[in-house]
Amino acid sequence: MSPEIALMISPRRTYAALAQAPRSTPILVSLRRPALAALVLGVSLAMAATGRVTPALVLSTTLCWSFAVAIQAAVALVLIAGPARKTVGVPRAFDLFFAGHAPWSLWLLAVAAWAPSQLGRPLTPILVAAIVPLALTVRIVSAFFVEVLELDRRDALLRTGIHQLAIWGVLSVLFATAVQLVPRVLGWIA
Amino acid sequence: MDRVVFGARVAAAVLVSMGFMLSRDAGQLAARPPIERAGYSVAAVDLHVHSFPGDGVLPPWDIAVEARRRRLDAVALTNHNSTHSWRLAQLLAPITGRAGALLMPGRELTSAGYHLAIVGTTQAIAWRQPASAAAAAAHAAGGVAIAAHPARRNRAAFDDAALVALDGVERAPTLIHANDQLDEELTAFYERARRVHPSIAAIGSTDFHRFAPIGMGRTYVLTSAPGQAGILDAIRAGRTVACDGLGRAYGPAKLVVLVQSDCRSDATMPPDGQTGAARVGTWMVWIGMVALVLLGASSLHPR
Repeated sequence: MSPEIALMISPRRTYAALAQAPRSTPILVSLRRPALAALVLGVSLAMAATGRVTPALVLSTTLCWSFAVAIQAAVALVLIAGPARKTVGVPRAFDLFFAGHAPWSLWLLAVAAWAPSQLGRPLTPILVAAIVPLALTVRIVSAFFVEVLELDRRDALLRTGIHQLAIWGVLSVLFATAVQLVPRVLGWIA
Repeated sequence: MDRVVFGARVAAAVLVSMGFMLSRDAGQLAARPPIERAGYSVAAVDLHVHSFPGDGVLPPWDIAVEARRRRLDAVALTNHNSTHSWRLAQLLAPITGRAGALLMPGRELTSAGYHLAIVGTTQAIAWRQPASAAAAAAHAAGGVAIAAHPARRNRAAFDDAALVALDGVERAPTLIHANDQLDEELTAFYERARRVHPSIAAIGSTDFHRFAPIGMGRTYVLTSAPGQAGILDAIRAGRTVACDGLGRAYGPAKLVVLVQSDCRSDATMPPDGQTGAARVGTWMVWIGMVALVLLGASSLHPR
């Protein structure tokens, strides 16, 4: 069983086993999982938007949307770098942190396959299903802080909360800017 | 066990690679053969498309290629109160190329109580003004103003003065296929607009963000000059027919007759260049990606 699957089933036990394995991770190797996550995003968006994937299209969508993974990486580094230096080291901690990307990656691929459309399948089931990766990711991230960074439960919960707030906060601000939320809200109020 | 898993990862990567080889474009798609009707050249356009960077998922250069696949001659990039995406496309054109449909600059003017698709200008237009003033500003900047998905809740913003000032009305945005009530509201709005402004253009558009295919709603524009200038002039003159995702056409009866068959065939035919091999390739990539995610990048119990 891969760490990605095991983390979805039993995150604390899995991270405990991974943290104990004596292994150092070169910096470049620690980028493999974020790179895969970016590729998943590129493939999923290309397929959802056009019904197909081509090398040129996926290269384009992956590069354009890699900023979303970069935001994840930046937030992760801020939260894990300090404690990681005392435990498994920053590159290995970063690598293990991104081992938890599977729930959202699988959800994105499911969206691409479901392909909601005004003339076809509705969007609602996909949106409702997002509760699953949301809940799993919170569990996985919390387990990471406890088992890999050896933080106490309170500190782990706090960092998990900050992590989720930061990620969703940044994405919300970007989305609100893109859709011009202010005039819409003024219109609703009026 | 490690060897088995490693072998499975390699197989998944090979599946993805083979999928990409099968699904790659064989070559640049040719432009649509020109359609001539009653002395006009007919251009198929989507005048309401959102792009990256913005709240659309595709960057402009990919939208242009996808629009050409969907037998469109032009699309208008209409992000909310922004033309950054179109400007980025122009900046990066030496790298990305200019393949595909014509990209027209525009914005979806997002105000409190109404939205306007303003096409044909990059000039900034303030959203804190009535719809009639925004339309006048669009004209002064050389563009056209189209009421975007004007539902009942927008009725107050689109008074008679606004309807006179507007160039077009979205009669067939793709939203109507998911919402019968909206279809009724848009029908009522279009009829009211035509009573006040008989030559107002009927517009079909996708309001593409991420899922509905570009060109699912489209406008057939009867132009007498090529390119963006000809498209804008035709909209101003009301020489348009809106076509929805089911192949139904809306607009002046004399014009609908000219393009009804194009509307039906464009709505039902698959995209140009789509082959069985490409579809298989796409699914091979998808399956390979699922496998790569599940198989992971390392072992749970490394030696």
